Amino acid sequence: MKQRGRPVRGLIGGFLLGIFLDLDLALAGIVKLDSVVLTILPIVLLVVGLLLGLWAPLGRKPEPARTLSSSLPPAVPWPESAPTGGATSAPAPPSSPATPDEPPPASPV
Amino acid sequence: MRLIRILVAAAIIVAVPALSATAAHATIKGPCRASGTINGATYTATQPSAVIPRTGDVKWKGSVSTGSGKRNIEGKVYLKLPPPFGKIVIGNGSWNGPSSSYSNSGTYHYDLPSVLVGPKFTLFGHHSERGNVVCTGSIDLRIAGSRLKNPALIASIVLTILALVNLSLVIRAKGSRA
Repeated sequence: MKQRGRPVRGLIGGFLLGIFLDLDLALAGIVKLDSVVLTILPIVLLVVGLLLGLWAPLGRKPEPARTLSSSLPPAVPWPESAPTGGATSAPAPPSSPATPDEPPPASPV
Repeated sequence: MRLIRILVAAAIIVAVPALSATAAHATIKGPCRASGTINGATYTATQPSAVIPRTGDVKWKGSVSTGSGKRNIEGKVYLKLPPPFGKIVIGNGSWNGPSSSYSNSGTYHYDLPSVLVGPKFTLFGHHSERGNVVCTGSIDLRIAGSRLKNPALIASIVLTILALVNLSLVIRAKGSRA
């Protein structure tokens, strides 16, 4: 299964973090109320949140190694003469019809 | 990992100059004078910053030293907010129309909420005569009091922590249980 990030949640989360950081900076008197930082920060964090959401580096499972499957031999169809369903040996090949009139081979002795 | 390094570098490049830059506030330019007295302390337009009480009566005075006769005047005292927000005119700090007066004074009572304790405001003002701006001025203001008692700041810090936790959850891939 392909793993994906959360870009929309990252975008909204980044923007909200920017707004609240803005409030912290302004209310604590770290930046002046007319500072352009208060405008830039939510936009920057919005983009950062989007990128982090797209990337989502935590919790990704490693991709399976592909070199193993490529080294395997190609698949071969199961032969009809092969044992199936609990058979332990191949069925006997059809024997040639014996002719009673034919004499047995002569013994060399 | 490389992306994080690039983002951090970009943040430093943008944030450090922006945070450390301070606007060079000239206090007042032009043939004008302005001052205010709050609880016996006088604040003049020549000082770059002031810390004022949260509640009080300000006895204000303003004058233009040049000109004579009746003319059209216009002026404002306002706070600038970051873009895209505009300006907020303070109290009754706005005047407009024909006038033969070259000075004015009065008393203004103010009672500011505790959520305004802590922020640094820059108060701007200008005065125009016959359509031309003749005076501009600004002063950095802070309201006296402990910023740690500001309920808005405490709420904002809590919300910031929650937003950080939320953003840290975003960097997990979908379907992971880690």
